[in-house]
Amino acid sequence: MTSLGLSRGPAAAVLTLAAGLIGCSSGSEDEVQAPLAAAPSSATVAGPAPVLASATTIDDVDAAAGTWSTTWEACFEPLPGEEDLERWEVRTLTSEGTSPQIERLDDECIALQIAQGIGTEPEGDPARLAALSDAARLAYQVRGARADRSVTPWSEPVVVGSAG
Amino acid sequence: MGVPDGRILMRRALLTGSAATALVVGTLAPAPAEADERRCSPTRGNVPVCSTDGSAATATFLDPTATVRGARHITLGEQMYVGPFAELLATEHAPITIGQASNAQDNVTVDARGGEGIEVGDDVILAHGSSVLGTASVGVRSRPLPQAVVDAGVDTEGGSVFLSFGAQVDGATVEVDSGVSALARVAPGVTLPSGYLVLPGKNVTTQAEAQDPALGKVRYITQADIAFNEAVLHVNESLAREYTELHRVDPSAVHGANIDPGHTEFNPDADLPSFAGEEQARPDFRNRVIGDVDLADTFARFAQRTGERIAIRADEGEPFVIGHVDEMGDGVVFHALEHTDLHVGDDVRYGAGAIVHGGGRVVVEGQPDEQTVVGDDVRLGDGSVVFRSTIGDGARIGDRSAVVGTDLPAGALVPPGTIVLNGEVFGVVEW
Repeated sequence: MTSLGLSRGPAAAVLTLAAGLIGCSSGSEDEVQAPLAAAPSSATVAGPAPVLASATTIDDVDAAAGTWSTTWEACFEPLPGEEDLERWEVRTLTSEGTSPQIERLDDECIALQIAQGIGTEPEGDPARLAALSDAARLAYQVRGARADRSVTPWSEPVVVGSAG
Repeated sequence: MGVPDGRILMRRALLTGSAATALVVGTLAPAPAEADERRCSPTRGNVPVCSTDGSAATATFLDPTATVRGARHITLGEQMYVGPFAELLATEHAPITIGQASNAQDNVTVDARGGEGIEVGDDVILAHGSSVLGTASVGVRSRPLPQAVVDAGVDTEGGSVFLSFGAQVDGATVEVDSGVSALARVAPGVTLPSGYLVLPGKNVTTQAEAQDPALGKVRYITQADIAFNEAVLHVNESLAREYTELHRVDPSAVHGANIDPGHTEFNPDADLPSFAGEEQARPDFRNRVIGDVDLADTFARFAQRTGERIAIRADEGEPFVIGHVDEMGDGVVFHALEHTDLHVGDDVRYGAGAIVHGGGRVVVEGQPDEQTVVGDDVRLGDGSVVFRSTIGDGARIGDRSAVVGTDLPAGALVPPGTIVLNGEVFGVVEW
């Protein structure tokens, strides 16, 4: 999984930061993203919104280390006629409101670590229940951006931890 | 459940887009505050806007209902939002410092008077009803993350702290990149290290409990926690800016029952609350009712049935639909996520300090989120929390209980001091 180039306003165009969201592509950990800002919020909106293709929650148990980790992954797809999108962008919705930050995704997927703990039975760990409950405070919307700087509408919000 | 179907509701745009921008032109910028580097003290003249350079982009906004004692001994960073009825209480010998881009939401208490001072760092979120007491430090100190968190690849970015609904830090230290869940507490003398988050309702009273997940009081912080904190901080920075702009346009608009600031991409319209179907601005009202709130009661009945220090804030999520109030105690808070709405039925009794918070909850895979709904004749105990849940008619939620991400059936009884998460009893409130 690769890191994600984040946009943090005009000055952020020169920054490339490791980010919380991790795209699904299989580049190296050291891969550096092109420091391109996401499309501005005032970009022309056209075409259909992307839709959720899949959302899964995966528990990964390391028996040797005696630890477990839970990752949620959601992938989106454009509707027919929108296959030539140049890039994908994402924004975060929380229980306190929608972040004005728009981040750039490596590809059409979001992967997020949502829980971890000690032991080999995550299903029985109360910490997992609490962490998944907390993670559901988050939701994401994704949109596509085209070469002409226009964008698709935002997708429907997808709550972290949901399946589909 | 008798809750009105509010899916289709009239939105009331009062100040939007260019109109609001035009009104800003020609208004006076506040005088620069008593600046200490890029901090200011919320002394008279520096409230509700506390600014070091006169710019709304960097200003800190304190809701006019916030209580400030010992203002000369309080220093606030830029881009802070201090919500309705928050309390910042300091003395010469017990000062308070809060860093940049932090926020103290509705009914938060930061009370240093019983100790030697409180220091809150940058990027700290003090959520509704949380408190920091005595000699305390939150989000200032840090240490390397636990190896398990490092191994999981968690990237903490700039560092942040989240104190959830009703959480308390009492004479304790909470380090950067940590958190305290709803109705949980960190007790005097304890340091919650970087990389750990106190579980809901837990009372951490020993250092071992604070840094050993096997003892059942804390868990490791996750990438989702970091992502959540980052987004909430951005939201509240926007609120500080937009409430500052609203105050510049019309100082009375940040008082009582009034419009929300709108003017953001995610909430562009500034809306008035309505009482019994009549939109009204009531700047002299003792409580704060902000934005697109549809109350079934007339203003007179609502004022008669409700206590003090109530914040119903639809500046992010909207609309809120609230049925006839049976009784609403002091310090009640309503808030919600944009794109979600919040419906509350008739004859609900709200205990003092109850928090009703909206947000989506996935019930059926592939189906739209279930919104937060509280049915008719529900009783919410003092200090209780309802978050992203559906509460059936006639249900009873005990004092200082939390119901999160749960569909509670009609007539259900949640005993006092109980934490319910995603439909399961997680545990009890230990303090």
